[in-house]
Amino acid sequence: MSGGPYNYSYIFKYIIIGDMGVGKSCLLHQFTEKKFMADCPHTIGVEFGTRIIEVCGQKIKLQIWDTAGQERFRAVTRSYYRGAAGALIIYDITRRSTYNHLSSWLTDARNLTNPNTVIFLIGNKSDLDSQRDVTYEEAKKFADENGLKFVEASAKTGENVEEAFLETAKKIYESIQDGSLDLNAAESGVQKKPSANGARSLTGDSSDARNSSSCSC
Amino acid sequence: MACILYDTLSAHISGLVTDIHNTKDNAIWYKIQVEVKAVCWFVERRYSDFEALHKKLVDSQGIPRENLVLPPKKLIGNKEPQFIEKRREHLDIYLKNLMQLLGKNPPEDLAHFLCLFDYEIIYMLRKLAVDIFEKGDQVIQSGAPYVMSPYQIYAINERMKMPIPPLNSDDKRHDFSHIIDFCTRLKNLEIIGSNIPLGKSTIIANQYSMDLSPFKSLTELTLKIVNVGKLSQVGPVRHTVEKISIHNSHLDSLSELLLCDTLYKAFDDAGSVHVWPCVKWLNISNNVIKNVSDIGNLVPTLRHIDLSYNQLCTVFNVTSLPYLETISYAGNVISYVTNLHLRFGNIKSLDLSQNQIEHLDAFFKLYSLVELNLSCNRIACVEQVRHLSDLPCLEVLILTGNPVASSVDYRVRSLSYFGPRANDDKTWDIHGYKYHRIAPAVTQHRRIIFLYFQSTEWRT
Repeated sequence: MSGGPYNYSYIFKYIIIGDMGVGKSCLLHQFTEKKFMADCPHTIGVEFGTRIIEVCGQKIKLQIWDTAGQERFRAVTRSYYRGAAGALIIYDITRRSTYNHLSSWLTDARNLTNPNTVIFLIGNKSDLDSQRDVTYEEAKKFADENGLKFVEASAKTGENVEEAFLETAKKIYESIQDGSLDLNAAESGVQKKPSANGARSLTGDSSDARNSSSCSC
Repeated sequence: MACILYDTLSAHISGLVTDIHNTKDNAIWYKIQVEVKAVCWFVERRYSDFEALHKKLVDSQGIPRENLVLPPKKLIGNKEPQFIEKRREHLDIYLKNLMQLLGKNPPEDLAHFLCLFDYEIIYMLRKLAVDIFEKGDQVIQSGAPYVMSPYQIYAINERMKMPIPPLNSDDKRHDFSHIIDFCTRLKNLEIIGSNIPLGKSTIIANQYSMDLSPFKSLTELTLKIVNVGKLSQVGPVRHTVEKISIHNSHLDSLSELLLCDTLYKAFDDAGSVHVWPCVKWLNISNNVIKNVSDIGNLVPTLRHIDLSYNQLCTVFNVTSLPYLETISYAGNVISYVTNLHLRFGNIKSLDLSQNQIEHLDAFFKLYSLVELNLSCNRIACVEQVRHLSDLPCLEVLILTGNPVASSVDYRVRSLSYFGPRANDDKTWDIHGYKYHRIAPAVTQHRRIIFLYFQSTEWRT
């Protein structure tokens, strides 16, 4: 198969979570379209974005589920944690309440994802430094205490957005390389690209899946 | 909605079917009625199918043998009515017990046996996900249209709202993310609806509403036999689509299509949020459109419009469409046209074939016209061609299939109106008909006139 957008070897699944209005959809849009969406509507349930990136010389496709921050969609959004290889928790540096809720988002993420899921903390709206309500140091301390990666980013200027998504992918790729993430586990959130021969991958994959499920029981 | 996660799946044997394809051995098929809430479908299975299913389920699920027993085999006398009836009752009980045990989460073998992959939302999307996972990239790469039914789109919409993980099976190819990933990138979508039940079910595709929001990169959208009223949301499609085609969908006005996602389908109320900014092609052929209101503010960049095979009796005003070049009105019922230059702007190609036009005086100032197709109308008099003689850009004029073609010397006489711009050249074969290509001579206008005439006589 030729190059371009169809040439990749892995699929990683991400979810983006965090309070309403912290800029989850804008971060995703900035990452996939490299544009800032000024009048972004409220997300209903879940939204989706995709992009192919390169990590350590490997092309990787990211399938990113962007969730609604509103409480009324919690039932739907919670079901998307399962099987995510990366979780980005977002708060807004200009609104302390969104920072205060981080522990509940983190508890949710820890409980509902698998132990290998890479959790990344992002303080969004770093361009609004004058209205800052949460210091970098404070959030950094929280991240370190909980073993999370952390950056401050801006969906508006694009600062650190790319880095956050790539860094997460790099960590996932590393745990594949060192064997701590089992590709065949049903909920790893990582998948090999379909091979050119569909029929062969069909039998191969399903037997893998069956083996792993029988092992785990 | 046929979704086993919300409604109970039930199945029972409702009758017997004698094999009509294979009457020699009088094979007996048991007709199974499968129900999920309001939706039901029929599956026909033989005793041997039950046997095979049972064996698979014992192997894969370890179903308790003592609780689920199939009626025994019988080699002789197994076609007797009493025996068959007894066996039917027995199979019915077996099936009901099976449903009680596995109905909440049917394993793959049972799902195949009950045709869940064809009708039930979750299983249908699993099948679609596998198809897309394996072929999706090739489809997008080739640019070929991907065909979906309204029921599939409805299923995707419903699945988005369900609090169920995208992957709820052990096989990663079943992941719903693959479908949404594909929809996000797909450029060319064809939706083919249906007003008759799907397979052997009560599902009628056109009764389901469609939200096109998952499609974020569509440039080409084709709708066939679709109920436009069920298009509840078009989402980002409105801002990306360049070519819209809709056929055989009983569309009677363009507002139904262009304002499909609004409650009040009146063009006057349409604001900037309703504009389709990229649409260049609009193909509405084979519908039942009777009149066209002003669509200029909704599709401001339209270049080509095809309104052929509708029920239009007049041409509409397109002066609000500054980019429009091509219009087709073929196969309508247009009889009377007047002062066309006041209704058309800078039009290059106009197809009015298969209408009922008698007079050509309305065309006399369509100075931008390059191609004019007037075949199969009611032009009876050669003098009518005189009205076209001043059109400076005209290169192609098609007059085949008009009554005028039966009069003697009509060809030479009509050409004479174009003066030195046209000279008799030679005969030419197009589509099996013998045409006279009347060419040429580069005139002072630097234009060439081709006139096509059909040699065969006009028949009414």
